[in-house]
Amino acid sequence: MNEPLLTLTNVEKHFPQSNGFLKPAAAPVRAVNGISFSIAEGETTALVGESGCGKSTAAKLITSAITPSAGKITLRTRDGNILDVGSLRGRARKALWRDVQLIFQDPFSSLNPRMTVKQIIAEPLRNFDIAHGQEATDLVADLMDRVGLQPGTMSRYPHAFSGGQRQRIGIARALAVKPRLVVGDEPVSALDVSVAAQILNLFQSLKKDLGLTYLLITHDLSVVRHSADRVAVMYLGNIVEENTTAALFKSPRHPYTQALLSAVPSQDNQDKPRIVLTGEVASARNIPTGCPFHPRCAYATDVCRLTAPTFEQLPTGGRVACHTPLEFMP
Amino acid sequence: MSNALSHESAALKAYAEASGWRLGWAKFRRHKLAVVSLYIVGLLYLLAIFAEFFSPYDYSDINRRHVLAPPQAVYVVDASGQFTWPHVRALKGQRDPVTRRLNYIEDPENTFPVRLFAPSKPYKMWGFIPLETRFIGVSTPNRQASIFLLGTDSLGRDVLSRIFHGARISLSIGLVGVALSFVIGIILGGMSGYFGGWVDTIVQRTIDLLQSLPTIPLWMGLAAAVPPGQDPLVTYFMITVILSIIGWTGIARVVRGRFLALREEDFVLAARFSGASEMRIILRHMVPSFASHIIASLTLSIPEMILAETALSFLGLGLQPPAVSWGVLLKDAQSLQVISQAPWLLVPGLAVVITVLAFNFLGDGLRDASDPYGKV
Amino acid sequence: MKDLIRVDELSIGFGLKNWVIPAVEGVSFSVKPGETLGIVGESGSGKSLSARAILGLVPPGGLITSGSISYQPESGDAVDITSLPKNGRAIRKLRGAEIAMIFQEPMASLSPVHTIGNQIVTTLRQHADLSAAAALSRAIELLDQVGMASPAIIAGQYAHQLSGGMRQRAMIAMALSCSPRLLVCDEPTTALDATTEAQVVELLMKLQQDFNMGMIFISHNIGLVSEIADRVMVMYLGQSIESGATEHVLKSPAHPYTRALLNALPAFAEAGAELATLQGAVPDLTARPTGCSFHPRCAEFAGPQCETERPAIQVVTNQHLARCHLHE
Repeated sequence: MNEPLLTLTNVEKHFPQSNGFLKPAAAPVRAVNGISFSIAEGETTALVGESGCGKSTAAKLITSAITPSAGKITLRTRDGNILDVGSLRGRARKALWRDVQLIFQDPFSSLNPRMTVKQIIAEPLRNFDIAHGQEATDLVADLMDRVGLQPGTMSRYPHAFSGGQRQRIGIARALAVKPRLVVGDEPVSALDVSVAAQILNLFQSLKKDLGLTYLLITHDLSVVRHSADRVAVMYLGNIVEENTTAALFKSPRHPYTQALLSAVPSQDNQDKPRIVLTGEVASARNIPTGCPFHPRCAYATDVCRLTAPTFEQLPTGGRVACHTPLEFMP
Repeated sequence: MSNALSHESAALKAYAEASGWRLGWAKFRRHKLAVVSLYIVGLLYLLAIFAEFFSPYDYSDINRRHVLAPPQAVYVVDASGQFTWPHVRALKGQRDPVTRRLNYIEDPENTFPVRLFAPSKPYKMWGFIPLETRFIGVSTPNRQASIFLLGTDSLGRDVLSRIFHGARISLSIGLVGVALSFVIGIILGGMSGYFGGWVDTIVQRTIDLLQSLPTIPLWMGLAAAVPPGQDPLVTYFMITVILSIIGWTGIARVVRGRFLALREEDFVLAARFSGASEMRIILRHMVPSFASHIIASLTLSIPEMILAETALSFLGLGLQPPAVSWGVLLKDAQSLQVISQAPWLLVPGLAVVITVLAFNFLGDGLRDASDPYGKV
Repeated sequence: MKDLIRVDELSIGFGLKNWVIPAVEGVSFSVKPGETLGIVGESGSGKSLSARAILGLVPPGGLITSGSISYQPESGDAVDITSLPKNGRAIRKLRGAEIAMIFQEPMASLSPVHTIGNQIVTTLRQHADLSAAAALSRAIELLDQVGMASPAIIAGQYAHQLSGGMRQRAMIAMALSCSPRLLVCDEPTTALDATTEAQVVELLMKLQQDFNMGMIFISHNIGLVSEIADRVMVMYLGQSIESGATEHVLKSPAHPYTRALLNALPAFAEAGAELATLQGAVPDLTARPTGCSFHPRCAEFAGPQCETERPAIQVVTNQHLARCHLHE
C-alpha cells in the first residue's frame, strides 16, 4: 500500500451568508461538512456527487484556492516534507502549486483569450523559474506534443482551437510544472462524447507515462467507472461511501450510491430497474438532522432521523456512513 | 500531422494568430459609422493642432470694416455666367437709413480668387515657428479683400478662425480631463474592485455622493474657487481638474466592474495556479483583457468633458475672453438679438454637435470591438 | 396506424450573405401515436433544429429550403407545417395545443414575473374555453400529475423559487396542459442531476403511456435514449446517418459513426481500457467535408468513393437504415 499523497482529515468549509446591511445573518452554507479521505500516489481517486454536494468546494480546498474553516489537509511534497495545505496563505501557496495542478471544467473561460498558446503554457515555466527563452519554447513544444497538439500551432490564440483542443492546452499548462497530483474539476463534462473519450484516453496515457496521481471531480458515474481506481461519493457536504471502484459499482452499500448507480445506463444494468428517489436534495443552508439523506431514503428508520451515522470501515472493505448499510454482494 | 498544417490556408493561419487587438480592429472596421467618425475626429484634431495654419486669419485680428459681416459664399461662376476659379465677392457696407444698422451686400464686380497656401502677414505657429503662408486665403493685397467663410463677430473677428482656435482648447480639455479622470478612476476603481471589502465600500459611497450632487451648482461652487484674473493657462488647468473631479466616477465604475468580473474568470485562477504573482496577474492577465473596454469608455466620456467645458464657459464660469474655446464663442450668441441679427455666431455650437456625435459613434464602435470574441 | 407526424427530406439552411450553409440536409422521420423517437447527435448535428422546425420554430436567419413536415390532426386532412405562415394563426393553434415542446433550460421558457399557476392558466385559456376558476383547478391537477408534492402551493410560486427538477416538472405540466398529441423534448434532462434526471425520465414515460402521446426525445446521451425510445435516429452534421428500432441500432449499429459513438462511451467500455475514439472533432458546418461528411474521422473506410461521393440511404435490414457506402 502506498503512503497517501494527500490526506484530508475532518475538513469543513462553511460560507457565512450576510443578508446585507443591518439584517440578521442567515444560516451559513455548509458546503463541506467534515470530510476525510486520502489519495494514494499513482491512483485515480474520484469524488462523485450531484450539483451542490460540495465536490467542487473540495477541489478548491485541495488546490488552496480557498482555505478550510476547520480540519487539516496535508500533502507529501516531492522532497518528502509534509505540507499543511490548509494553513498556506498568499505567496506560500506557490509551493503547493508546484505539486498540485487543476484542470478546469470550461475550456473556454480557463484560457486567457489574449495570450497565445505558447504564452499560456510557458506561464508556469516562467513563474516557477523552470525554463526561459528557447529552453521554454522547446519545453512548450514537448508538452504540446505530449497532449496531442501540433507544436507548430503554438503561436496561435485560443480562439482558433476547438473545445477538446482547448482542454488539451489546459492540460499541457497543468503538466508544465511536472505536478504529482492533478485535480480535474469535471474535465470532460463540457465536451462532446467523441471528444470526451479522447481526453479520458489522454488522462490514462499520461498517468501511465508520467506516474501522475489524479483526483477526478465529476457527476458522471460512467466516467468514474471507466477511469477511477477509488471512489468517494458525496451527498450534502459529506462523504457517504468510499471504496474501490470495482467494489463500489458491484456492491454499493449506501442507499444513495445505489440510487445514483441505477441512474447510469451501462451494459451491466440495462435490465435493472432505475431506483427513482423521492423528493429533492435539501439546501446546504438547512441540512436535515440525523442522517442528511434520511428524507429521501427508502430504508430510513427512527435512528436515521435522530443521529448522524459515523463514517465506518466495513469488514468487507470500503467505508460507509449509514446506520443500516445495504447487504454486501460479493 | 505537419502536412495537414501546411495545407491550411494563409487566411486561416492569419486568423488563428490574430491577437485580440487585431480581431477587435477587424470588428471595428465593419462598423461603418464608427470608421467615418474616426476620420472626422482625426480631422478635427488636425485642424485644432495646426489651427494657425488652417485659419485664414488670426483669431484676435480685429477688422473694423467688417463688423458682424455675414458668411461669404465661394463662387465658381462669375457675373457673366462663366465657370471660373473659385472666388469670393467683396463686401460693401451700407447703413440702413432707418435702423442705422450696417448691412453688407456682395459686389459681383469686385471679386478675389480664393487661394490655397496663400501668403499672409507673418505669424508664428504655436508661438515660435514663423510662417507667412496660410492654408486658405485671398491673395490680392487689397483692403477690400476678405474671406469670412463663416462671417465675423461683433469686433469683426473671423468666426471660422476662432472656431479652429477654440477647438484647440475644447478638444484638448476633453483629452486632458479624461486622462486625469482615467488616472484617478483606474486607481480608485481598481482598488475598489481588487481589494473589495471596506475599500470598495468607501470608494463606492464616494462615487454615489459625487454622482448625486447636482452638476451645475457643484461646478459653480468649484469655479468660484478659481481666482479670477489668472493666466488663462491656469484657469484652463483648474477647469480640467474640476471636470475630472466629477468625471472619474464613471471610469472608476467601469474599471471596478471589469475587475470584479475578471477576478471570477477561470483563467485568472489558472494564472494564480501557474505561480503568477498578484502584480503579474493584474498587469499581464487582467489589464489586457479590459484595456479595450477602458479605451471605449474613455472615448465615450470625452464628449461629456467637451460638453461640460462648453456649458461652464457659456455660463461664464469657465474660461474668459481673450481665451477662445467653443463655450466662450457661444457666449457671444447668448442674446436673442444677436441670434436674430447674426445667426452665424451659433456655428461653434454646430462644431460641438459634430464633435460630440463623432465621439459617441466612435465610442460605440470601440465598445463593440472591445470584445472581439463575442458573436459577430 | 397513421403517422402523427411525417417529416420528408427536410433541409434547413442558414443564410450568410449570398451563400446558404446547410444545417439540416434531407432528414426524414415519422412518429406514430404512443411511439417515442429518439434523436441522437453531438453538437452541430442539427438534431434540435429539425425538431424545432416541427413547431415552426426555426430560429431567425434559418430557412426551410426543401422538404415537408406533415402533421395529421385528429380529424381531417394532414397539414404541411412548412407551408404555414411563420407565427401565423394556424401554426400558433397547433403549437401548444396539439404539438408541445419542453426545453433543456426551463428558466428560459418560464416567465420570471408570473406564478407557475398563472402561466398554466394562460396557456389553458388560450386554447380552450374555460373559466378562470376552472382553469386554475385544472392547473393544480396538472401539477399534481407531474408529481409535485403540494401542487396548490407550487401554483402560487415563481419559477426562481423552484429547484431545477421542479422547474422541469412545471414546464412539463405546462406542455401537457392542452393534452398535446405530440411532445417534443429537446435535451430535457441535460441540465439536471442524475437522480433528478431519473425522476423526470420516469415521469415522461408514464405520461406518454397515460396520454398515448407521440414523443420525440432529443439527446446527446445515447444511454438515456436507449432507455426511453422505441426507435432511434442518429444525426451527424445535419444528416440522418442511421435510423431504426432502438435495439437494432444499439446492439448492431450499421454506421461507423454510431459504432464509434457507442465505443467512446465510458459507460459501455471496460474499466480502465482505452476508449475507442473518433479522430478529430466535429467539423464546422461551414467546412463540411466532401463526399461522406464523416469520412475524415471514419475508421472503416469503404473505398475511394467515401471521399468523393455522398452516400445514399441504404436498407440494412428491415426498417434499419444507414447512410454509408459500406452497405451498398
